[in-house]
Amino acid sequence: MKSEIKLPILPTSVIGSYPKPWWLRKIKRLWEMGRADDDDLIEAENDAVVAIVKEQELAGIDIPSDGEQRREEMVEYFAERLGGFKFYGPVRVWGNNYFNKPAVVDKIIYKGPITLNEYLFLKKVSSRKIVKVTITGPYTIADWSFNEYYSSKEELVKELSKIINEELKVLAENGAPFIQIDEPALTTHPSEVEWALELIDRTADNVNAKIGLHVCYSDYKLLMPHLDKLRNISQLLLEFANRRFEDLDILKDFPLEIGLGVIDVHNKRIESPEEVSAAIRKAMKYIDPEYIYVNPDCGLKLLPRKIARHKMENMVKGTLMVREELRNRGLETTVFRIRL
Amino acid sequence: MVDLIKVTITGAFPRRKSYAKLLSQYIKNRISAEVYKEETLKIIKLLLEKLRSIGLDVGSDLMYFDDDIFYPFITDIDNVERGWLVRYYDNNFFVRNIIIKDRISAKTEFTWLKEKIDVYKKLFVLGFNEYIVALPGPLTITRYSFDRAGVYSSREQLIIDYARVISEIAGRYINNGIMVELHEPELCFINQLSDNLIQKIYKDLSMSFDEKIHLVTYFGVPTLETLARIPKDLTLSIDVVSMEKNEKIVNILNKFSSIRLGIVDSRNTKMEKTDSLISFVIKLKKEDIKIKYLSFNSMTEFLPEVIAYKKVKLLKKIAEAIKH
Repeated sequence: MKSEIKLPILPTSVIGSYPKPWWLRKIKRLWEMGRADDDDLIEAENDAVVAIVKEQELAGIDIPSDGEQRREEMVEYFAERLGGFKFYGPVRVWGNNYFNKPAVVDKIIYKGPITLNEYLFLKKVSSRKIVKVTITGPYTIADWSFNEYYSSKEELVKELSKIINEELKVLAENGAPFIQIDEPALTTHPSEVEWALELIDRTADNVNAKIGLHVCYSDYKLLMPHLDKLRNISQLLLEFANRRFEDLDILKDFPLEIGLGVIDVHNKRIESPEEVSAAIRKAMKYIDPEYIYVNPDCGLKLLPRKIARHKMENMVKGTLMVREELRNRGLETTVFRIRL
Repeated sequence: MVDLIKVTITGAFPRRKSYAKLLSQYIKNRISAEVYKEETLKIIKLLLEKLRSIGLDVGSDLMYFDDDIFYPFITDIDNVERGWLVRYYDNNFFVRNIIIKDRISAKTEFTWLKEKIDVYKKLFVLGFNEYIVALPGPLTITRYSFDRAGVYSSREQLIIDYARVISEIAGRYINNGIMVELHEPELCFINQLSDNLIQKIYKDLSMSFDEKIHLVTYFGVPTLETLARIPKDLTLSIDVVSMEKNEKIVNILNKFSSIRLGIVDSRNTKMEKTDSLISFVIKLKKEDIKIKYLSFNSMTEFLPEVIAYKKVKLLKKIAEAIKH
């Protein structure tokens, strides 16, 4: 049974995306120009997933992802595969980073599984017991889209929640052990947090898998009053390194597991193992180590691959330093909990 | 003679792919700063010419050389450094906050300001009657400043210091023939502003430069009380899309000598109905509100480029309709 799986204490994982190998980017460009066919692209994506999963495992990551090698952008990827969206062109998010912000122009329709093949391939090529699949959540898809069709945002999120629930069920029925719902937009509009969180949790109704929720670069205090009401989500994965570990006090009396962000993904400086271990110890002042997973702040895709790899290696080294201390206290494993 | 209402964009214009590639090459040191600047200027000129042909009346650098409203602006300020990424209000748009290291003041050499003025001088050849540059307002930049060291005993003092710096920089732009739009969304979120504070932060600006200062509020509307305290001789920009939350403010808008209406939504691609916007503007004009500019309700770059053009055309259509 999934619920009896044990992991090393302070399991290490990634948030999802990982830099793409140069040759995948090149083939993607050729494919876009019509100079490589679909089979070429799929072969390159599969090879990239094999390489990236191996790279994470060599770094010592306990729970790898497929590095989202087949995806360009987290909202765009799902909007392209659902009915009802239209793309007018890119908009800037920060610095020199852009995304194709979709517009909802019609009723949204689920056309069939979007991430199932990604998971099945990842499971086949990974040596780890647990792998992670990431899904962009209904609130973020809605918030990061222009809404030209639904009468309210809440109505749009409800529709998306139902659709993503179908996707999650398909994944769980095929054995996906750990699904992470990415909701970076969740706290953007404080007055919407309560209903948004309820609808996100409902996205995982009747889904027999561990459900994590990733939020970043925002005011986490807005989430705290509502965490007790969650029925399906067992882990919250938050960025902390970027904010130099301000706000760690929210982990006091925290009702869920924490996926502790210890690596800044928007900075090329490589954190030392000592910095990582210090961050984990800081978090342990507030929350028991059995409830801590260690991960970067967010997806690594914007970093040069070499730096991402080095950051992951140091994240694991820093975690091992704390594990050693915990071993002396008799703590070596943690239970892989599907629900709390 | 009937004064035509002028069309302006708000802050940054959507960036082109060609520019993103250029910037990426520059960041990676594959092209020199000179080549980057020269090529960027060419893109800006191309866009401005296109925008003018569809109705833009006020020229700007489209904020192509700025990372965001705070940077590189803050490089002309002493004792601050760039911090970490934070969300710009409730948008999927991020800026880096500002770390206060010590009491702030304007640098003796305004390197960034001089570079900007040079850019504008090169844009003057395009022949717009007016040019405008975007700067952060003192309240907004204070909201995004992090005084970890506790340099300032109160936020008010930091606001006042920023206002002093901004006023000096704004003055230099205006003296060079460039109007200033002060991005001050924070005015919509502050309930209590003391008369004394307003006196210190906006009055100097408005007295020296009057309507050439556009005080741009967005993501909401300021309260009646706040608006009552703002000097009436500057150009006030109001987010009309948010106005339904507080329609009462119409009653005070006629006190201002110049109003800029943020009448099209830069946070939705859905096109507004021309007729209803025309009726709305006519209604306000009947209430003696001196509408001098029409614009987007917040940063134009929140839209994809193709929709931004459509909405500029729409603004021109409204301006033309009001003329007759």
